[in-house]
Amino acid sequence: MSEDSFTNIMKKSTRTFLLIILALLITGGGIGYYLYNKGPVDVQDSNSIKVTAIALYDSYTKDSAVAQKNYTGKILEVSGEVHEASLNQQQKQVILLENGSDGSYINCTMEEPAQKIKATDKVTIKGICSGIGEGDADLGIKGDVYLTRCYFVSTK
Amino acid sequence: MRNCLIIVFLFTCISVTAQKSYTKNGTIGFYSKAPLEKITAENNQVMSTMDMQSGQVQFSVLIKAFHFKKSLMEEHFNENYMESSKFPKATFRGFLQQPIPDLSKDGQYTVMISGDLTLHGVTKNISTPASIEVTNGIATGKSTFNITLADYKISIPKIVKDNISETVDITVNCRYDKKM
Repeated sequence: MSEDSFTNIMKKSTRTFLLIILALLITGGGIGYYLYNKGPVDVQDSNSIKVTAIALYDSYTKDSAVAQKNYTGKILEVSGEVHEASLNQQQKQVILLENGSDGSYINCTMEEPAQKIKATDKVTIKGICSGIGEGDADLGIKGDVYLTRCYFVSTK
Repeated sequence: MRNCLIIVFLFTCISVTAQKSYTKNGTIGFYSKAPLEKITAENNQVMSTMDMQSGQVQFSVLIKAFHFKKSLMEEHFNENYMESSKFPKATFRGFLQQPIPDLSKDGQYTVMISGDLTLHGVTKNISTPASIEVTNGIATGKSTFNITLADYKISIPKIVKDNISETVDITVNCRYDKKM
């Protein structure tokens, strides 16, 4: 092998090596950039845990550690009867679902535009569970179980 | 005479209980301005009570109900900084400082609030000015103050020091539309 062809092979392999490194850097950077800028989780298209409003609240009041493990931070599909529909200060719809206990509810903040919902309607709502809020024992206010970024699955 | 006294007593009870208002859907936001990045998050599920007569105010928020524009930020906020599985709630218990304005009348009032803020398992006494606007008998309380993360043992890794400021602005906006 002449010295020239050896140098050529070396040049070629160095170039291929550099190209591979460059491709890896671009891919890695691209993935990193994508992950860094990734928007919030898509609630509507995600898998969910199905539970009734009454069972969900029961779980938090009976054993909050287990409920936290099973439900907090998870995407749930909660079905129940509407106690009240209102708008919050950001004009987002807030639906309170009856949970079998007076004065506390499954408190759902809707992501989609407000719909015509009234008390006693039976609905199923999909959203992310943030856990059970604190009440005020002195004032006799009980804590609600909160769901955020919610969407209606059914409104019969 | 006795009946009169009973009626007066009943009315006093009613007016006193009507002085306590609360919301379970108030708003708390935070804003962190750093050289590389501005970070904002909002929580629309704040539970807060206000006793218009004694001036006692309480706030309780679930950390997991703070939402960000980027999911990675939300993850880091919960797992690395606030450790929300270990410390799921932040609370504030305090009082409006004297003299407490007559909040049964519509109007705009400026008050000072001081009390204990518990965040990330650390309790600190804070004081902040706040505004209370009463419209048709419903009070809306607003306040903006800032906290230093190190005071609450929230540490920022050196690698992201430029992305996160050491103090963050907290805004509170609660409409007390439910009455006891």
